[in-house]
Amino acid sequence: MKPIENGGPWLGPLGRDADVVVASRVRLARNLAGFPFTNRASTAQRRDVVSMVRDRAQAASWGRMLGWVDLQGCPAEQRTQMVERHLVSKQFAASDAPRAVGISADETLSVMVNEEDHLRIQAMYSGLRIDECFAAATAFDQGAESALDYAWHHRWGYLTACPTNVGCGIRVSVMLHLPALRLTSELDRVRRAAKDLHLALRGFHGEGSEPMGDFYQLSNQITLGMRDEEVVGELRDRIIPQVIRYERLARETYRSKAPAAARDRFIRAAAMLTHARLMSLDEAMKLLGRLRLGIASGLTEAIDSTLVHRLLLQVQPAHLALVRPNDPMETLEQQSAARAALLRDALAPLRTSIG
Amino acid sequence: MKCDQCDKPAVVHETVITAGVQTTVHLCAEHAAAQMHPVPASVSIAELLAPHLSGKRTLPACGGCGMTLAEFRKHNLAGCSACFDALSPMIDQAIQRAQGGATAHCGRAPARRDDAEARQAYRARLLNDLEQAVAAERYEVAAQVRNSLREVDGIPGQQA
Repeated sequence: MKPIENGGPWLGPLGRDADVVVASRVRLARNLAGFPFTNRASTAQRRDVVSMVRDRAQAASWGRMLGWVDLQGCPAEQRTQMVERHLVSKQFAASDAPRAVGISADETLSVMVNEEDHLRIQAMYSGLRIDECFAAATAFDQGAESALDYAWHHRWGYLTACPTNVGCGIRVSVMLHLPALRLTSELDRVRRAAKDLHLALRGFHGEGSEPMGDFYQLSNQITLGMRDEEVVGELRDRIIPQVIRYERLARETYRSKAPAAARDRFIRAAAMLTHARLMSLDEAMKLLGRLRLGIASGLTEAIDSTLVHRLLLQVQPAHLALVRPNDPMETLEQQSAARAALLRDALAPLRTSIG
Repeated sequence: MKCDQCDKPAVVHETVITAGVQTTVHLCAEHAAAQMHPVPASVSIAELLAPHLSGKRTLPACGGCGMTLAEFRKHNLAGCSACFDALSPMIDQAIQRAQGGATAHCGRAPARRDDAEARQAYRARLLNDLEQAVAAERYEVAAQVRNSLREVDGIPGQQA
């Protein structure tokens, strides 16, 4: 893995609606015809799928931009780093079977081979940029389609191992920062509304993960009977703008009803982050979330959200080890100490501004 | 209940009426086997009933990868492309449930595919489904199948 200064697609420049939106992602699920799906494939078949996809991608303009990592020969720390950067899923990093991931140099495109489906094509950008994600994922997909035979069914469209993905196989997800909706107890209403609209609201690392620091991923659940452009359009034009409006309204309400409390929350978070000697991952995520809200509310100009985003990544265990190579990390306490030191150093400009 | 001949739990219970006198025998697996009584295998009620409920002796399995319906239900994952026809119509219901009631794909299709044969097979299955639905007077299902048939034939029909 390269240094993280330029790594991690969601560490890019802040885009439109960056007060609420952290990053956007589009993922396409595809399978190759003539092979059982990953869950039924033999080791030899899985190896064949990896080499087939990798060889064809490397030989063509649509796939040459990917650098390939063989997960089986990949050290555990590097696998965890890829999970922390949202380049591969947790399950994919943990599995023992032959599998590989192709990653573009800027890390905006990654292609997992032998995840739940043979191909999981994923494009990710910082800010609200669903269209760019869709374009990047589709460009790779259409290239791959010209060189590989996809599993396809007349009625069900693109076939996937799980019934939740058949059809167009697309999952659009937007990572949102929703602290005010949670503070004003409106999040449950959003969650219910999302469910009624066949959307999922999940935690920081997607499926099965806990919300950390009030970061959530909102994504479509329906992939059948809708064109992929419709799925993209619905989220981009209707749903995400509405959630952004709700969150902004909740922030307004909170600020106007309790301006001193809003400021106090921010100052306390900043004080802890710039002075604490031990910091657990959960606490760091929570406080960085509060910091992000303070920045978006104009409570400080000493730092901006891109720094907060970088720290959200660097406080994760594998990246912490990467950016603090000389700190001992054997125990949880040592990890917490290294995390606290990283935050104190990085947020030094904040210390003087809140004094 | 204990075995009549030892302290182990009885698994065979036989009631015999001889000349108007009723006697009941309780035996453990070993003594039952020794006396040539058939010992019941440990099967679940669902497995016992399944063949009768579906009207077949065995549950369907995929010829492509061997995936059975029970395995599919357990993990909610198909094993290969052929599962989608082999495990129909149960897999159809699972898909429609997961997809908010949507009944067919629309939109992009791969540029490269050799599908004339698959299309024919799918069409034949739909015709069969339609016949069965009409015979059972399940007209809602029949209408759905008719829509799918129209899609296969490229006739624009209303989307469910």
